[in-house]
Amino acid sequence: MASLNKQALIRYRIIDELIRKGDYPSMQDIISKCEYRLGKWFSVETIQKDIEAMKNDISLGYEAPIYYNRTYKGYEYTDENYSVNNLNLKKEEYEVLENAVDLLKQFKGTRLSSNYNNAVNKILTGIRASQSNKSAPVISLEFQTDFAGGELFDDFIEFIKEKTAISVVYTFNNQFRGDIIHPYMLKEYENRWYLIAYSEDSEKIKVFDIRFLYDIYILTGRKFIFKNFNADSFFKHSIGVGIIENFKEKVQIEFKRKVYDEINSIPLHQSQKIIKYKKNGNFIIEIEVYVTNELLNKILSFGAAATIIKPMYIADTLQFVIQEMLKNYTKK
Amino acid sequence: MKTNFIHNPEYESTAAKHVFLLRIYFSEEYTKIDFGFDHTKIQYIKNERVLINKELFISTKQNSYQLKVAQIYKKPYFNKDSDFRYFSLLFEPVDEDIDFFDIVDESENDFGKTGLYRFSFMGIKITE
Repeated sequence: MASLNKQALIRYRIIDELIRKGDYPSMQDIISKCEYRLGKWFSVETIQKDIEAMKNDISLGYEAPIYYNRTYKGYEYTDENYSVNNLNLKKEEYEVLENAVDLLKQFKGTRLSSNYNNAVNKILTGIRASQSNKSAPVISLEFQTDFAGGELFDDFIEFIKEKTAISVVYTFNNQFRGDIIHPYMLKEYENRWYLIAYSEDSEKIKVFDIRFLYDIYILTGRKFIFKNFNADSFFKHSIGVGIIENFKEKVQIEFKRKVYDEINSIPLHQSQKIIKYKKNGNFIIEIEVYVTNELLNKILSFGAAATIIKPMYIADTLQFVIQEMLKNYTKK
Repeated sequence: MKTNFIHNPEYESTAAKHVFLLRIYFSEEYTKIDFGFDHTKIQYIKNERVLINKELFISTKQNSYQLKVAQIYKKPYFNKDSDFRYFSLLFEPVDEDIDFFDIVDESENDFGKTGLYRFSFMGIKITE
């Protein structure tokens, strides 16, 4: 898509986002939001053309049911379930997608195709389910489409693809900061999305929870900083997305026999190896990871079936957490 | 002005307890100042808006002028979703030759428990 249209697409999404909130945004509300988000001023004519395109431009295919409500002096959708983000495919477009899946099947076995197949199959199964019975979905996917921060998800993809620096304000570890960041990739962990980006404020690559990135300005004229980033090595010692530089440990955990299949089929971490089998069926694993909250939560999720062997400071930390938890259940 | 944005600007002093100065954006049309607001240490009142004095202003020692706040964006409010909020104040554009300014609130009204009282940042450096 020509870069000329990219900003228009962002404006369409902003308009969609504002109307879907149901607050009857006025023309001025839309202009302010676009200016706020894109860092430049847009005329009434531009936004009017955008709304017209969303309603009637066949090539866009939105056919957005936008209506100006004179009572509330703002815009609304006459179909409250409408969003430009909904997949509203015609029969022939649906067939094209199915053909695309068939094409991808030629690459079966490669890592790329497996990821793509999963993604496209999710879309297709979602469409099939919704077409067969709109009121009763027959497939439930863990992936949520309305996750917090999701309204900026497509923007982040564009920033990464187009190597665009952005100005943000954010909260991190209960502190506020302003920053210029250079986005490299998006990563999902337990249904939350994170943006990995170079931070000019910290002068290093950081992981930002997209729920806590606010008030974005696109810095089109700014030189994009690309550090030597490799996702595999960056997250090599992470469970999830937590990174604590120079603070990785060899952690040994004893598990009870009953969770052997679970631990074996879904390892805690790629470095996991079983280092000892005990006579009672219990076994000890070792992983080399950053000591983060994700690690502690993971161990706690096994309850009494997991015991930290070393390092002892992790065992002490968990002991404290468990004692605090116990207070919640102690009858007064 | 050397740049459009100043992130985490330096300042000499502040009387704001729960407010953080995050970013200043300069354009020909306005000056926008972004703040973070942490209400974890303030009494929680569900959905209560945080009141901000509209008489607060930017002032400079250099040019000795005052710019009153023109608009308040995203007034913070108490919501269980997040203990951290951000908000923005919009002023008229400041003069090109200014290196420092103050954000001053001289109001006597403390707006009760959820207001930003005497909300001031002094000696904010606005050049890199």
